Amino acid sequence: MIPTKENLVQVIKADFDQLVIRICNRLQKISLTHYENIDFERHQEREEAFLSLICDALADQNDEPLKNHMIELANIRHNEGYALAEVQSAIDTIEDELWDTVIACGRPPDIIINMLHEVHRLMVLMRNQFAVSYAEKQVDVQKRMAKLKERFFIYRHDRQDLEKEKS
Amino acid sequence: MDADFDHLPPEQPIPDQEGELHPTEETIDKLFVYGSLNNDEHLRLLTGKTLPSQEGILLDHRRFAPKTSFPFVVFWHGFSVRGRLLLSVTPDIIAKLDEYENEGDLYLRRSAQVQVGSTLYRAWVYRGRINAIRPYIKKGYEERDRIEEFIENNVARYLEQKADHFIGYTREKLAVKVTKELLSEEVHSLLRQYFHGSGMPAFIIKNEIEKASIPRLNWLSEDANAQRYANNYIRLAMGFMIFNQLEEKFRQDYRGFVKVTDAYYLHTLSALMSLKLLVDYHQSLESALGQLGVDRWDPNLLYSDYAVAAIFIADELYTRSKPDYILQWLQAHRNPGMIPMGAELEFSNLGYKAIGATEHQDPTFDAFYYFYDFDLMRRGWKLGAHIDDHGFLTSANTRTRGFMELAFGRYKLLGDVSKPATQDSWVLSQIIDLAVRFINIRPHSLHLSFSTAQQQGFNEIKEADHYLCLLLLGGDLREDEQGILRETRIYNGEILNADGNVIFSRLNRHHKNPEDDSWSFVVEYQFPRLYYDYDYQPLILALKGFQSAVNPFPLRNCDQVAGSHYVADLEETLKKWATQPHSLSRNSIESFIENVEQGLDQEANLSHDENYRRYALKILGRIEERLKRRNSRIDKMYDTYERKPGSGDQS
Repeated sequence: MIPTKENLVQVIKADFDQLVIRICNRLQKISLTHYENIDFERHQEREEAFLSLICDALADQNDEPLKNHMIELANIRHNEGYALAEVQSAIDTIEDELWDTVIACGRPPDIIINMLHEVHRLMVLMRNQFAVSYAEKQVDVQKRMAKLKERFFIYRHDRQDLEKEKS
Repeated sequence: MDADFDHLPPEQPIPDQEGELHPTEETIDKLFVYGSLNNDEHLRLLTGKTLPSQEGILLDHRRFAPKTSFPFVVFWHGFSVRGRLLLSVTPDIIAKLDEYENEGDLYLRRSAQVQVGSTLYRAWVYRGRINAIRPYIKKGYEERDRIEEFIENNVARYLEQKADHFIGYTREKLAVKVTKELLSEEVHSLLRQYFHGSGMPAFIIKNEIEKASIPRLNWLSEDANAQRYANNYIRLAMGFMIFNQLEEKFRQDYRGFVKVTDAYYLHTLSALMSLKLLVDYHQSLESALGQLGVDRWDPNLLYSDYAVAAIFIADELYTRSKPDYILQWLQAHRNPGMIPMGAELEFSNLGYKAIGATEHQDPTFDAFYYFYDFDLMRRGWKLGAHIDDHGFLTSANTRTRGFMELAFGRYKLLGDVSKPATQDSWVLSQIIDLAVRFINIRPHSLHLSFSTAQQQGFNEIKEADHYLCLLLLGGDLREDEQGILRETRIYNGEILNADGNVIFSRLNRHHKNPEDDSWSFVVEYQFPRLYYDYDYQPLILALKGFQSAVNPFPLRNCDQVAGSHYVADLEETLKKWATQPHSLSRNSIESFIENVEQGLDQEANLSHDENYRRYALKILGRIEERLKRRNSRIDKMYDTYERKPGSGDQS
């Protein structure tokens, strides 16, 4: 019997182009997010790369490249000003579409269930890694602003004194 | 002949020559000039006067003229320098010129022998101090830059007086910096007038600065409606002010690298550098705003307090970022072509529904109804920020609902005064993309303008497919709510006027200077969608190449095609395609690409620049690739509908 991961790779690859198109169309419809304002081809490039990475990780039975990718992605999206929830909703969209692909693949039900478990496991892993890295980045940036805060505090204090003197 | 600066020995203290006078000693009414001052216009700008003069030779000096900076002389026995001897130079004039020449630091004013005909005169001369001049050479500081700086400093004096009145906080020279920020548009307008008129009486400068209003926020406590949106407006104002501060820093510190000829908008490159820094340090910026509590309206803070915070944050970001990397980035990518271009960007969280929006329909900005109350046109003037309700603007302060628009190069909204932003497609593409990221409001549409001569004969294009290629490249193909693929710029009616005409392209005109009655003409393409994270170079070069090679009729405002069947038929074709896009034939795409290539080739020939030719060819490849990819997406569209999981049709 073919292992679940291998099965899943085959299913994703068989539906690859259409899966990407469906994901991109859905991402363009998530209102008031960055995704809504990104051109279709740009989405396509990103999602092709993302799904390829998932397939490679499944084929190699190694989650590390996926984790590393999410750390890097958290860095980029954090700096671009994406809210955490925006990226989480994009991951949800990808998971939904992967589920649809798996369910429609025509394999026996027990194999489908195993593949759905695997999709879910991967998505949880990616979601968590992204959230942790994103939060770390946030804390790191805040720490570096201490001096600036002090400078503004002194200004406000001085100005209040000045106003008191005037009054 | 000028000496090569590289051969100059290191500066050594030069002993005063026998009989040489110092500035504080005897009065001399003659001045020998050999560089910046040997120019009547410069003299008028600096002193407001034109002086009588004679040609003369400065003895025992040698002139140096570094390629990237301004000339200067040093004492050098046995050498001489040709120039002019200014006569009737009064102590007032000397005082002004001492200030300009930074006497005692950059230059030393000393007496010297000047020969006019067979007569020897004693005259003042400004002698350069090599070590003080070296940093200017490194920065690429030229004569004009020094004059600009001098005049800016003069204007700043009047700002100081104004600052004392309304803020009175002296530490770190903050009052002047804040006033300069809040009156930045007025100050730059004065500087432009100063240069345009070769000088300006001091009382006019003083008067203009005195009457300029300082924005306030006290009205807000009385306006409950405006309070609902105040946080977003304050955040926007902060963004503009931090941008302004950084732009000023880049313009000052990299003056030699960001300057452009008078035909182009002065702030484009420094604005690009500033946007790059703000986007690269986006989270630092957000964090700073949050920690200082200036990302929202605080009734205890004055408008000037927000300006102070903006100054502090800009200082912090600039210092932290080590901005040389941005200069290197800019230098590595620039690829100027020959055609002046501009861009206008529209933003609204309501999308195309921004026009005609009702009260509170837009929960973030109320469709920018309070834009002018928060003084945002003055804050965002360097980016040409204003509100566009697709009507006619009659006053800078009229409340209206619509899009927030950035118009690069449009430095005076009333009177429609603008200059081309750049002739560099890479620069234009970058500044568009970075502005979209920086503004962080839903991007809506993009207008791209290309300079043209008014009388230039436009051509009727038989192949409607060429227009479809442009629409395929720059429009917005996306699924509607029912999952049907549309070109949404036309299908949603975004670029249709009240009569249903497609505003695809139009002939437009602008004044280049406020004092100038003449018009410069542009063909403005209005169909492109403004995206986030997008490379605009293929679209810009495709439009430019197509325009150059084919010179098609602009579909609106062009007398040659007004009311013609040709335009009506073309518009119908565009509308049909937008409703039900079909893939274009290989021949159509190839023919379009050939035209674009021909236009870009013409431009490369004019520029005599092989780098530009290579660049244009590279982007041409991307144009073709993008067209084919989008075409193939249309081809696959029906296949996708048929194979959609759950559709029941798995055949």
